[in-house]
Amino acid sequence: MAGASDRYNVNVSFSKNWDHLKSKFVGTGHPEMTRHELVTNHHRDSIASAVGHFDMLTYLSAGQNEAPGRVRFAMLDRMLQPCGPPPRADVEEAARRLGSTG
Amino acid sequence: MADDMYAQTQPDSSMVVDDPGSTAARAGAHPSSDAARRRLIDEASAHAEDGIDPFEAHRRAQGRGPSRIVDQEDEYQQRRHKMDLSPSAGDKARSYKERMAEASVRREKEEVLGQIRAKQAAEEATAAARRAAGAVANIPSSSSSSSSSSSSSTAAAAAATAVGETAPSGGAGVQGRKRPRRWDDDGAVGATADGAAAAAAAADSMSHHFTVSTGATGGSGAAGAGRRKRASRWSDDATPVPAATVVSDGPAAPDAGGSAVPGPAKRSRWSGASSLMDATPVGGAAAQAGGASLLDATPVAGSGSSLLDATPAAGAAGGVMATPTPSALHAAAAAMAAAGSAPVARTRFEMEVEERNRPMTDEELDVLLPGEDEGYLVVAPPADYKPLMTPMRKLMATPTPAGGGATPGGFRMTSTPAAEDYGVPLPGGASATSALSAEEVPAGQTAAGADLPAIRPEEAHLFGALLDKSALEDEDDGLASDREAEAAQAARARVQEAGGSSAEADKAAAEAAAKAKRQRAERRRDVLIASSLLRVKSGDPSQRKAALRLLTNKARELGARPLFRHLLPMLMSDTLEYHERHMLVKVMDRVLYKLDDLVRPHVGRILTVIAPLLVDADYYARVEAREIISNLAKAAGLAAMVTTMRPDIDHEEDFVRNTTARSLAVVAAALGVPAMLPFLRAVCASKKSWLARHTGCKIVHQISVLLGCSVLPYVRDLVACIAHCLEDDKLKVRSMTALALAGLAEASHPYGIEAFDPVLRPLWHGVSKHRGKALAAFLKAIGFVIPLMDARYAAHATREVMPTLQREFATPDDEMRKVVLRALRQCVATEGVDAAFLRESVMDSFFASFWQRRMALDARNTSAVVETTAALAAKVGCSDVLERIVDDLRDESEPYRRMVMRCVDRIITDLGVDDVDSRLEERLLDGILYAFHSQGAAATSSATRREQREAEVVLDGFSTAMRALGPRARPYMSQVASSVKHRLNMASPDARMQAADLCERVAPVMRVTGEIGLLTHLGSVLFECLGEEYPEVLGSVLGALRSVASVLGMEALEPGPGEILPRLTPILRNRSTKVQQNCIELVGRIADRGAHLVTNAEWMRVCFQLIELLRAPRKAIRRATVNTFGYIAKAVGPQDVLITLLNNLRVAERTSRVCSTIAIAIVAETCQPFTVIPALMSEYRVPEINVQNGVLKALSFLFQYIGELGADYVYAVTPLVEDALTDRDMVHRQTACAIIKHIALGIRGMGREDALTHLLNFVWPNIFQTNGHMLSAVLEAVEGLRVALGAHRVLQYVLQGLFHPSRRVRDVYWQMYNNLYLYSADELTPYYPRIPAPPAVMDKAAELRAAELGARSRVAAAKEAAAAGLTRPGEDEAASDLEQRTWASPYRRSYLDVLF
Repeated sequence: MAGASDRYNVNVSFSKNWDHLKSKFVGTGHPEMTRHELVTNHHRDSIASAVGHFDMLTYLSAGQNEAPGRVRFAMLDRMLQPCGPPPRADVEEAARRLGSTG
Repeated sequence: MADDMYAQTQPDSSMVVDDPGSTAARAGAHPSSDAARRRLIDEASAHAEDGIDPFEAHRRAQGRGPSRIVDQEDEYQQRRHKMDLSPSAGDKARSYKERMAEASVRREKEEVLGQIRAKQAAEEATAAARRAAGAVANIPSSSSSSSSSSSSSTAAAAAATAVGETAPSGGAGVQGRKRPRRWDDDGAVGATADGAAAAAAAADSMSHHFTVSTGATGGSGAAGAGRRKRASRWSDDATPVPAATVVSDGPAAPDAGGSAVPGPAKRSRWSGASSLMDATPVGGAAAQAGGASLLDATPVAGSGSSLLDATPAAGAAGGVMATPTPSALHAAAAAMAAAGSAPVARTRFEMEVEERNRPMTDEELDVLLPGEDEGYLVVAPPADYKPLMTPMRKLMATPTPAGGGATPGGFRMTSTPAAEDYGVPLPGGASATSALSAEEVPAGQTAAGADLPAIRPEEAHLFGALLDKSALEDEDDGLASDREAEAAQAARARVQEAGGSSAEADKAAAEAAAKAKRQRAERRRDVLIASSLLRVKSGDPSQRKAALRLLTNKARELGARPLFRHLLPMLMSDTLEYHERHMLVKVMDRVLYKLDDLVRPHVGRILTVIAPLLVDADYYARVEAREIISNLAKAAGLAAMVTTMRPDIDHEEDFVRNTTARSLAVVAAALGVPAMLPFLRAVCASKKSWLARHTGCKIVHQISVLLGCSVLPYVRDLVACIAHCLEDDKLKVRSMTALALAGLAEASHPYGIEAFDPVLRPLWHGVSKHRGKALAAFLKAIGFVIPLMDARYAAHATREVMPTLQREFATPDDEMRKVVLRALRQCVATEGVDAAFLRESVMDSFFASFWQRRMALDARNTSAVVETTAALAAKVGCSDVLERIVDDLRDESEPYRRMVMRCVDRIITDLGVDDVDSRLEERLLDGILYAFHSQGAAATSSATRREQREAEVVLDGFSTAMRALGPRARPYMSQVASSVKHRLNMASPDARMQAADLCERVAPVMRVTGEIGLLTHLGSVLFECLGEEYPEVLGSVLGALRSVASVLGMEALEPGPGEILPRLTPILRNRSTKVQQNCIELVGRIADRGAHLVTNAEWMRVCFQLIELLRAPRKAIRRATVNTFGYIAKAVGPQDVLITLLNNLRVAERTSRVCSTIAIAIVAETCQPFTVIPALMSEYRVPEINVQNGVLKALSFLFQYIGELGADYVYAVTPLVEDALTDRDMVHRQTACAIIKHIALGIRGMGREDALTHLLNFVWPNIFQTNGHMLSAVLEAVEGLRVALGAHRVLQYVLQGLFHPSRRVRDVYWQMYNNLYLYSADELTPYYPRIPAPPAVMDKAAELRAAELGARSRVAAAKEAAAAGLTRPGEDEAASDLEQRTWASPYRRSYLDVLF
């Protein structure tokens, strides 16, 4: 467990400042992260980036032949669970995979 | 009468002796006279007796004072020792109800005592009046003293009166004749002359108030007389033996709660004792001479030796047992502890003893002792029984074992102090440390802990667990198990004896054994805690660290109660030193964090210890205390904190309320103000006690101080909370409220005026209603509220308050003056106040009252006046203010001249001199020159910064004025120059230094005025001064010369640089830092501007000297030296300089090497890198680690300085960097990483990606380094490469390891991934990899669409297929053809996203 003094120190080693980091940058990861979490983060980042850059948004809407507002809405809608719900048997699954790959 | 008056007017002789000032003065006046000498000796011996160390002040001033905290506390802070650590709470937390009841009892007690004191004072006053009227003519002359301070004579008088007058004094009829003294209350009947004398003697020795008691009819007569009497403890023992006892009473002893309620059922603890006394044959001559009043509970004729006094007198009135005197036992135990700081320890001790030493009631005794139903009888003592009271007999008396284990009776003969009692380390450290058995202490701890720090004798009582012999025995496992077996055996025997079955006996035996085992475990735990705390407190750093870690990690196992049982008394200890307290507080902090909610029952005791730190003089102690309390609040919760502190909110002791208020403010800051608000409202609205309201306002004030501007959201609520207190009945509450409002307004500046609306009117009313300190508080509040207002209202408010402010201009009170100045400054600075108003109605009185000599005496006062004047000047203009003060520059008082100078400096800096007319200009310059000529000592570099600033005030003002005047200063220049010239040749080094400093500062102005001739002349004069012997002055001369040289230009300088530089070369060897710095700057300036005027040989000579300066302790000197190398290299070509510097890489000293590398880099920067890099690279071939590292470091600085020029040299240095990165030496690799970082950052976007990628491949294997410096160097290199190569390239590397099976590997990779994400999240989105969905998630429709889209994108994707494999083999099984490793473009991805 991190000591009281380590909690707010960003410069100490990775394992100690995770909470702090996570609170500022939601997309950061940690060694125990599952593939699903990582991919979810990637998707959210991609969507946010596309929505945030207006030219990218218009480009995509042109490609989809949709109004930019609609594309934007659809994308924001997908922010919630871009990769679907987390796999249920995640733990056993991970264990099995880890076991199989070494 | 004449005697009487004389006694009052003549100062007491003892007072004179106590006043060192007057004595010293008198002694100084007649140094040779015998009388004076004798007086000095007397004084010294008096001090020695008082325990006053005459050198203490001196030692403290030297900073070598005692580091014990108690020695440096002021009287206010020492009040913390009176706070009760509540011994009962150690065993069982008291309930809120109990504590509230205690608080109310305490309050009532204070009230009663207050009334008694008031009554006594009133009675004394009436008595004095009566005496003055001569009503009692027949009283002997000894009654003349009426001063209560000289209690001895009064006591004698009282006793004498008692002797002289046989009338029963308790009767109502004689009240007029009786002098109503406290000690007369019961009527001093039958006191013999001896008794009276003894009383006088006792009083003399203690000067406590005391009670003359008789058990005689007089007492009961008095009780029946209907007069309101103090319920004396002595009054209810009506033993019909006439006797008088004199018992002194400690200052804190009156226990109104306990013994002020005499009743037939309750047996006062005094009753048994005093009836003993009554039976004393010596007829009340039992005066106590002992000094320690805590022993006085036992009314025996003791000599002060506690052990003797502890002997209980057997067979007292109760006939059953004598009440033992635990106080004496405590005294014995604490004697050692109290040795160091007797008075403080004593007062605290009294508190504790009083708490513990409550009298036993009959009921309690009945419970304890067998009663009549068991065949026992309570017998009365025989009528002729007389206890033996002579000290010699007492010595021989057999101690009576009384009570059980909890209150051991009898006396205990202390054994000869063991070696460890004297601080000698325990034999081999065995007793304590080996007690930490293997299972309790991590491996390695036992070995490291073999040597415990020494225990100081005065703190031995804190480490009882370590000194306890049974702990030693615990060590021996065999012995311990023997003991357990013994205990079991004994239990078995007991049961069997009582006729129990063998099964019962076995059970009892097992229980006994288990109990013994448990006790042993507890003892071990105590030893562990105590030894760890001892290590933390006084061990060396490694011990401290290990013990701290042990305590932190095992906090929850050790348990909150045992931990705090050891820790808290240590923190309260008198012998604690500052650093020890710091360490213990640290322990507390860590332990709190670990214990979390387990601390809840101990909140009260922790606060008792920690809250006083909130008013500590030491800033860091306050900060630590704040942190602890806020952690405590977070762990224990608001409810627990509030319930704990509630009883102290209206505590009668100011100290307790103050610390409570501060603690509650910290709690509010920690848990949020809204959570506290309901409680605050209730406290501030308290009807029961004004103390609570006062504390409430104080809490609000402290909240504003703690929260600062973040209090803004709650200002409205907080103001509403305290608003009504502004019209409270109590003055103190009103002023506290005003202060709280001031704090809130200050914190919320410049917003939040709306919140203050409800209090504006009362505030203004308050100003007109109050005087003195309260007025100061109100003015302060108004001063802070006005800046929040709109301009219009502010102007109005200022006009309203100004008459009051002006009235207070003349106040003699320092506090008030400060407040007035502050308020005035705030009023003046507001927008709505115009200059005309100020000129008309404020200026005259302001300058008349504040611009006076005595204002300059106090530094804080001075700055307040200067600030306020500057604020006025900003409104009414520069000249108006200058007009009034410039003539004071010629004042004869130097501090006042400085104050004026500071003000002039400040005003001219702020406002310039544009509106100063020529006449004023003349007066100003006149005054400044006068002040310059008549200033005192100059500032030496050894002086403190404050002194230096103070000494430079005049110079600063001078140069500010000259700079502001600019060309207008021309007429005065010749005067200034001749003054400088004249003073440069004066005998006083101070004058020479000031002249040189002035020259340095006015040289630029001289250039501006066009006085080139003067400047040149000054330059030659300064050159002649280079032979100066005082280093301080020489430094200033060099500085002046540099200044002249820079404004004049090297060519115009006379004598030229060619002549000056040879004179400077030897001066570079000077050891004074001031000389070194100014000299190197001058040399650098010459090398920069006039290098061509000096020969190359001379420059090389300078180079060799400069190498020495690279070792200089001051950074500015080293920086100047390094820069100078650059200039010289530019002037004479890099080769020679470079050789000097490269050779310097071989020296042993690190600083020198580092500076050489920087110099090399600077040479490269000034003379183009190609002149340096080949030489450097060839130097790298030297097989010497220092040289190679130096070369690498130089390259690192070099690439940092040359930036994008580096693009041309990347390919050249790549092999060298490769080599360094593959070197075994870590420093090589680390420095090479730094090189790569600088290269990469310098040349991004310059098309050198191929080289950088190559280098990245060499950097990458180093990411698993564990060394902190190394790892951060590697990560920085990667960061640099990220900038140069793009985040996606690094992402490709990073993705390889994110799901590596080894946690250690994943750690690093995720750290780098997070870094990437932090700095370029948006940049990464196009490059996120395609990660195939596991089959479970992919539904049918998605699969179909995936197949369709995948076919479309495959062609494009194949092109970009990266070398990087993302997924582990096992994951690909179910994947369709889509699951290629593809880097998708955003466009494609936006469709592919549907997949997941």
